[in-house]
Amino acid sequence: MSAYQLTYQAYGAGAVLVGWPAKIAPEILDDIRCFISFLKEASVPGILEWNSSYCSVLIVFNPMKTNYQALITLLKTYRSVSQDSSEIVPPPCWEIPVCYEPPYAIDLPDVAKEIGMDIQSLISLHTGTEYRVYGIGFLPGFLYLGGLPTSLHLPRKTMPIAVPKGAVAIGGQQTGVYPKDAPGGWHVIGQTPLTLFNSKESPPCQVAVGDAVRFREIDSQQYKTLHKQVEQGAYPLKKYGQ
Amino acid sequence: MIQVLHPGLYTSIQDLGRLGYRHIGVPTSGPMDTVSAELANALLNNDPNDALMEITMLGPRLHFLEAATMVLTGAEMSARINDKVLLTNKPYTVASGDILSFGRLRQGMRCYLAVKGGFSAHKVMGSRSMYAGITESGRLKAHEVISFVSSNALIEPGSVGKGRVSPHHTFFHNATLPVYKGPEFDLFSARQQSILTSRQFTVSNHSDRMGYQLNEAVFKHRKSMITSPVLPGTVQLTPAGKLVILMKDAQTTGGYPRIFQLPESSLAMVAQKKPGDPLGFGLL
Repeated sequence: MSAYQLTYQAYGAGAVLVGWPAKIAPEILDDIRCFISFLKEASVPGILEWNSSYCSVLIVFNPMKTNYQALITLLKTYRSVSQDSSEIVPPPCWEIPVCYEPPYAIDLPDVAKEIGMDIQSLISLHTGTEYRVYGIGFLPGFLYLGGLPTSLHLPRKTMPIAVPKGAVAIGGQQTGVYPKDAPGGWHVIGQTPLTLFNSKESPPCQVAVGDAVRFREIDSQQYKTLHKQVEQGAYPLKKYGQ
Repeated sequence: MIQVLHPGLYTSIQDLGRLGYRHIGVPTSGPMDTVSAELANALLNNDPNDALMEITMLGPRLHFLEAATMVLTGAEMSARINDKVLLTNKPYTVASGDILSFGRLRQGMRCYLAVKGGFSAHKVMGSRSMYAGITESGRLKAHEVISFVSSNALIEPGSVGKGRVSPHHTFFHNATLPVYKGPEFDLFSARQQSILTSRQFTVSNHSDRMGYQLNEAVFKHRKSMITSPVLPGTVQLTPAGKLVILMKDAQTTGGYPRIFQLPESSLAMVAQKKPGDPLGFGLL
């Protein structure tokens, strides 16, 4: 029996919005992971796809094959018998190498000044934390990472600027990695040589909602070496500590 | 094969879109106006998912490098094959060497060009729909050559119907869109809800395949919410009181209150509106 009382809302004629309590918490994320693994395994007829973010899951269905009532009845039945989320296999933890040196860390000196911390302590704090993926959105493969230490919380920029692919940034209470060049309002503190989203690969994005992520500091020489390996397809995303 | 002599304002290849990747942040894409796109494929006895060309506001100049049976649906854009004027919603057979060009926009915003069997743009993640970052480019470029799926893109002479499906004028001119309530609609007061459902808006210049922004602000609000999933057809209300209708290439999550959800048929009507056109919302 799951602990959270869920809400179900019709979202247009072909989708259901499932809601958890409106807060950002790892326990809710674990429960959402559990819920999604049920959707994956049950392969319910009529369900086309879904996505999730923090405390909600949106399920898109084919109204010719199922309907809102049938779907929520099924989901409620699953909730009444599902196991506790602590019994689910723990998520993988991915390691993302990051270079915090110029020219890859355009906003790092300003950010350090703004929060009143020296650059090395800031890097240690950023790399010393395990983050969780609370959502993937904004761009294909953009990871919303929660768990940023409070002392690194910083309001977003008022105007978005051009941000390069691989930029590792902080914004509000979150940190994230830009999967491609894009306009962005977060503060860029480093860059990873990894490609986190590639439409030509299957799956295009290895990281899933609920997974854990840790950053590892590399210098600009290592960045260049890894970047070359990534371009040759010789450096896959690795699990932390491997 | 067809060669792009001039790409026009914004011309892309679209099938019904990329399903099954929303959980990694990939938008659906697909035709902005599915009603007209499906009609184009139906008129050629194509599969509904066959890829067609979506032409926006200012049409391209296209060179047929082989004979084909084709049809145009959606916006009326004064299309011609060589010097011959073409009607929408009516199949034509064109010869190798023919030039398809477009002129003044008379009605609507987006026109669909289908050929028998569909266009054979490269499939990425299960779809031929162009979207920058997933496919090489989000739109067609000058000199590009697009193949046809079928080695013979002709419907036998004599089998091409001579009739024409008449364009649905209310589809282009209906300014009140039927909509469902969005998840956050009920967070607003009765007075605010009545403003949202009775006010007339106009389409702004900031309107593209990602979203349509409307010009008129309604009321400022401070209803913040935690980022949550959105869909094409979701209408968001920004803190400054502006409405944004999310379209086919929109991102998959958003942080503004979702006040309405448009059914596919209403979304198709939005896709035919151009900057300055009036538009309002009526609850289903």
